[in-house]
Amino acid sequence: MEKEPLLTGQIDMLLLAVVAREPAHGYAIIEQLRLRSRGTFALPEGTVYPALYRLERLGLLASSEHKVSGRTRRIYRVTRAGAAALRDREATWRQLVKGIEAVLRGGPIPGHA
Amino acid sequence: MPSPIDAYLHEVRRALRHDPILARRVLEEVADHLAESVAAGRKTGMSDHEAEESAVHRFGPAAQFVRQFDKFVTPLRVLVGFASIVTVGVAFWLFSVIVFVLPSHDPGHIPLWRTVAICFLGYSGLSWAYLVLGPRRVLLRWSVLAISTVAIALGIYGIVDTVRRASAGGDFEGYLILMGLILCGHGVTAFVYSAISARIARQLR
Repeated sequence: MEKEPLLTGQIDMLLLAVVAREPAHGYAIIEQLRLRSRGTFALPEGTVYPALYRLERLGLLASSEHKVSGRTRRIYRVTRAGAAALRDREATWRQLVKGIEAVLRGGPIPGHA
Repeated sequence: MPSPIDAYLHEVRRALRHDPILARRVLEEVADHLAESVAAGRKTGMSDHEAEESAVHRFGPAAQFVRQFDKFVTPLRVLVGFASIVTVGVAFWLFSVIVFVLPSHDPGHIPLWRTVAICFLGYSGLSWAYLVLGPRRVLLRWSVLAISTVAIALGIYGIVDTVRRASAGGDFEGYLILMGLILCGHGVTAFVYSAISARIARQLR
């Protein structure tokens, strides 16, 4: 099974999680995502920028421009709304993972002896 | 021969030419990303050209990348949509005046209004081309701006003259005020769009 469909819908949470640790620019965010997932999330690089742009438009990220070596670099940081959205998504994700693990383990059904 | 990165940026710029504000932001980010990616590639022993090719390859095809921004290119769509509605509305109005109103009320002015209608449609057509083709067509840009100057002058003249004649006891011809406002609005919009897009285009060079 391909990993990409599993990732669909989770990219926002992953990006918010990376930027929440430290404000960063696109390249650093992609690198952090790759390193922290130990290569699991080696995303096509061109897919991350539209996602960052969308999150900024939703008010979950904010960005500012900085001059670095004559180039303009855009640094992203999580907004208050973004931090709240991250907490919500993280809670939902953990609940989902718990449910999936319970099904995969095939343990007893609560209330059925 | 342009470098792989220059060619890539050119393709992105071309694809986003309709929205210079988004183009500026996206190009700056992509350029920064590719520069970092090339620097990382060089550290692994790649040549400059290899590092650039690798960076561009990892970023993905330009057309595919730009397509992801399609849903965000709303300002131009709103402008084009609004301009379309106004143009069709004004064209319909002029058509009905020339065909239904003037023949019974003021047949002597039919040639004048027909000329006004043709000029307006020509001006609208040029403005449309300017919006769709982007601000980098210099001849088109200056043509639209020259005609816009004339449109604003005519619009102001029409409004002032109508008000002056009405205050001197003549009939208040509201349709002339409307036509004046349409011409001024069209002209000012063209200037504002041109100024913003030209400034951004300069920054992108």
